Amino acid sequence: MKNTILSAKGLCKSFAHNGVQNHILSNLDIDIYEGDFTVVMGASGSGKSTLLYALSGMDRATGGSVIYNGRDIVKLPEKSLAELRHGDFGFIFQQMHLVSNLSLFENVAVPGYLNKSRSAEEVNKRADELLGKMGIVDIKTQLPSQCSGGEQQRCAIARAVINSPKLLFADEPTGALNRKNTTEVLNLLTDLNSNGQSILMVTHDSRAALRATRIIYIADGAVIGDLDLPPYTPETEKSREAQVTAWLSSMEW
Amino acid sequence: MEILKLLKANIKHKKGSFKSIAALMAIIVLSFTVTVSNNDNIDRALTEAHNLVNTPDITAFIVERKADRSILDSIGENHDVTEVYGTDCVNCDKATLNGQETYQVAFIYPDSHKIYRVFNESFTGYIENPEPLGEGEIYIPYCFTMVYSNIKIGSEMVFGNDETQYKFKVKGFVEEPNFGASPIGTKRYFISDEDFREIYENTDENTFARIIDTGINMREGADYFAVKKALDDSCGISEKTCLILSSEETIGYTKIYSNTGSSILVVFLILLITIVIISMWHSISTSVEMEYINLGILKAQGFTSGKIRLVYIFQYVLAELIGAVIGLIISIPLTFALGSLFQPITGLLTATNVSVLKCAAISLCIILLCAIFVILATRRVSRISPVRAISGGKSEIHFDSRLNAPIKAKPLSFFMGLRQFTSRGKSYIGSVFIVALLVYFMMTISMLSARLSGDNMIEGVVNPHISAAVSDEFEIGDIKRFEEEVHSVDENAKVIFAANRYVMIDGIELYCSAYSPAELMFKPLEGRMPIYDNEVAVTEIAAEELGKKIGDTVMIGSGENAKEFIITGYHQSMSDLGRTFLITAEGLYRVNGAKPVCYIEMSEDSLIDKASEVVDEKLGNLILAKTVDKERGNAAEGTLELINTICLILVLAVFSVSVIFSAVVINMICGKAFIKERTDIGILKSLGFSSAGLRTQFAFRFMIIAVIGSVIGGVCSMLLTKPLLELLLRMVGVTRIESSIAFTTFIIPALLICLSFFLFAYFAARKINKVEIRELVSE
Repeated sequence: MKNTILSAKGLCKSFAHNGVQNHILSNLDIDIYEGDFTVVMGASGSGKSTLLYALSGMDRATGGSVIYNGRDIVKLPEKSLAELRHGDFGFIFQQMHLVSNLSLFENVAVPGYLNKSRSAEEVNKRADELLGKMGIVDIKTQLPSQCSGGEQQRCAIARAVINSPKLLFADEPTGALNRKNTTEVLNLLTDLNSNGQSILMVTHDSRAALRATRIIYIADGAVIGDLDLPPYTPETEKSREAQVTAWLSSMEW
Repeated sequence: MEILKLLKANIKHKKGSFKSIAALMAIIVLSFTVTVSNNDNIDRALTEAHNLVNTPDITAFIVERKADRSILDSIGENHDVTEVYGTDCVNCDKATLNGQETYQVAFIYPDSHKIYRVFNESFTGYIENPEPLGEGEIYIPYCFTMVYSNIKIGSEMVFGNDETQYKFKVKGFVEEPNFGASPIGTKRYFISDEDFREIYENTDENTFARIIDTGINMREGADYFAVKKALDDSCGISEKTCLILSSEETIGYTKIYSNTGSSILVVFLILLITIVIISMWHSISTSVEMEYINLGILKAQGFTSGKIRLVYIFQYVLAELIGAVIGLIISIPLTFALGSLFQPITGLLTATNVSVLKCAAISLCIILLCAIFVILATRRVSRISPVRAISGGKSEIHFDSRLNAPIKAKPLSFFMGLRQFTSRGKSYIGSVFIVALLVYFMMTISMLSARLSGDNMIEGVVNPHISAAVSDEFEIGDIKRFEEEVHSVDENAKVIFAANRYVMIDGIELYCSAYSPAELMFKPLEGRMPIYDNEVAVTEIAAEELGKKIGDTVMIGSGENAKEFIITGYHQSMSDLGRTFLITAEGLYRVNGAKPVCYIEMSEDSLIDKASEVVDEKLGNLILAKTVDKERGNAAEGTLELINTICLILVLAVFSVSVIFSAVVINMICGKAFIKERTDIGILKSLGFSSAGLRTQFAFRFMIIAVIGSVIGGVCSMLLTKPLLELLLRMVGVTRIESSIAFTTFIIPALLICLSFFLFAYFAARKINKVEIRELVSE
């Protein structure tokens, strides 16, 4: 029996454009389980990124609830949401979005400083460890603009996990990377998951989806498919690929 | 048409910059319009009032016991003199108003001598054909309503001492253009013809003296000083008058504050225009940088660089025009307020009209100047290539600095703010410069105010407990006897003998202050104050006029009575706008036999009576009249309060304008920074920074700018304020400013600007609240 880490009920998200309401998510129910590498897939415009942002509290849902740790994050004030972001959640963007005037090390350490449970020295030490793990400790003093996309994304992953989040959100983390960097980033995420890190990732890349232990397929703002998979190993990649491809085909992917 | 469309879109899109430039321009136009209009109103009122009463070119108060009316014929013989006439009046050396001793030299006239206009009760106009004054009624100058406290119609005016005394009730206040301004130490009073006749018939040569108020008109182009020198040579006019002044000099005194204000305004205007230009430059360069792609697209569509630059020019010129109009409109009530403040100073009924045409012309010149800078600032537009722009050739907006301020955990907001500042250092050079200018100017005004107000103004003013006019028996050597007797009662008492006259020095008539001991009254700038009766100290202004320096000799006095003096030092005095020299009372006596007045200031009030008794007992034969003032009422208190009020208003006005400027500039710069950094703000929010925390970072960044700018402004002030103030204050006789700058002079403006920057930046960054992390999503 898996523990639910995040639970959304009747989740709605609408945008008003030129006076017309555009419903992206409508009454969506979803549970995310602890320790899972959950991947959300769907066609472009299906609402997967919107779902990710609503679940992570980065964006406020227009209806429904997102229960985390007994609290509905939809109703949390801004200050509590900010605490959630630097405490319990980590986030990886498609475009990396590192702070442009901070070095790689600083980009990783700064959110750590926000977390009052660790001293600055401890944060610095952990930042160094994470950068080492990501293979970019040698270039930690460089600014993001001086690094490749892969290096930036690895830095973004280190930044996202600096505060040992309970749940790591990733929005198309490989979307802006080449094949080599994509593999490296996926390996890092898989490695994190194998060490117990809960991950919720949005992607439209079926290769990325192979790393999941659970794939959720959404269309028109609703969950239409849910596939459980065993943990990823390189040896099972071929068989997983066949299984996932078949399943995605059934979802009209 | 396409330019208009773009212009409209630009203004709509950049409302913040547009409003800020308009606001800055409004402040500039407001500042100079109020000052220029006030000066113009004073000039008009002065000209009209002088024309109405036919003010002569020179007014000489000839003491009748020294010269009879035949002197008028001698004066008339001078080939530069076109007209000379005399009017009887009485000089009184002691007067009190509502119990307050007046320090102005009083000249009393019959009210039939119509050289005045009577104000109505609300001081908004004149009384047409006022009734002749009745017995015991008096008209006094309007400026007294401000110089002395609680003066109104019905207040009591007393002339004379205990022996001979005349009491009057104030019937009204008059505008007397020649001597009616508060900075002039001579005042004219008007009483009924009958009362005047009584005083005139009972003059005693001591408290009351008959005077021939002599009006002298010169031929056009004649030089006042040359005429006076010629009259001195021919009829010794200086020796026979207790005061001689040209209308040009009295006009100078009347306008001294407005003229000083104008000089300060010029400096202030240069500062404000510089700030506007820096702000515009910053706004334009940021705008070009941020809209690099859009500008490239416009070029690809066929817009020429010239057309794009024209849009910028129109945009800023329009903002300035709107600001100028707003400034002109707001100046209407402020001109009224300033006019009301200046009216009692000049003693004139001053209109409160706004000099619209003149100020509009100045505004247009400023707009033109700014337009030239816009043309220069938009040169970068010409370098934008459509292909490069559209393909993302925008230059990197970050990391233009090699400075690498560390990021530390505590206080994180401060260090983040510091990094934001250092990593975009170039963008903030203009802001730092603006702060430096503001702090520099605020410090300059504080120092100016400190120099003009308070104790600094009363150098050379005696404030005694006992005043004694000496009798004919008094010999100059008796000064020592006075000192000995008074010091036998109170060894710390100050005994000062003083006399002030206009005296010829090397052929030029200058205001002579004679004090013994002189060092009690003035501090030397260089050398030392005169001690012996052949020594003189001069102001630097007088030294330049005379072409002499310390160690040189000068001839003081007229004709055969001229004596040689050696210059022992320089001093500083605002008397006669610095055209003055200082000798001992013995020295003046040696030159023209003038007997000084004795002033005694006790160290303890309890010793006043004893000292008074001793003076009466031991020196009674040497004293003609004696006044004891236990309250030690500060004679100059009213004027000092007035000056202090003006200085305070000046400081408050400059500080307020500086704070408003800070707000406008920050609003503009923050607006641009916010647009530039919107993505970073979103990222930081996604990392867990709260809006309040990010706003604090913004505020810290601008406070860092303010701190750096303040330090630069403070250093500049230490180096440059002194010469600037010496240049500005030279017109009021101050040639040297104390070199040390008090810490408070720096810290108050610096703190005010830093705090303003912090608070305004925090406020301006309120848009951070609206940044959604969702904006980072790229689908």
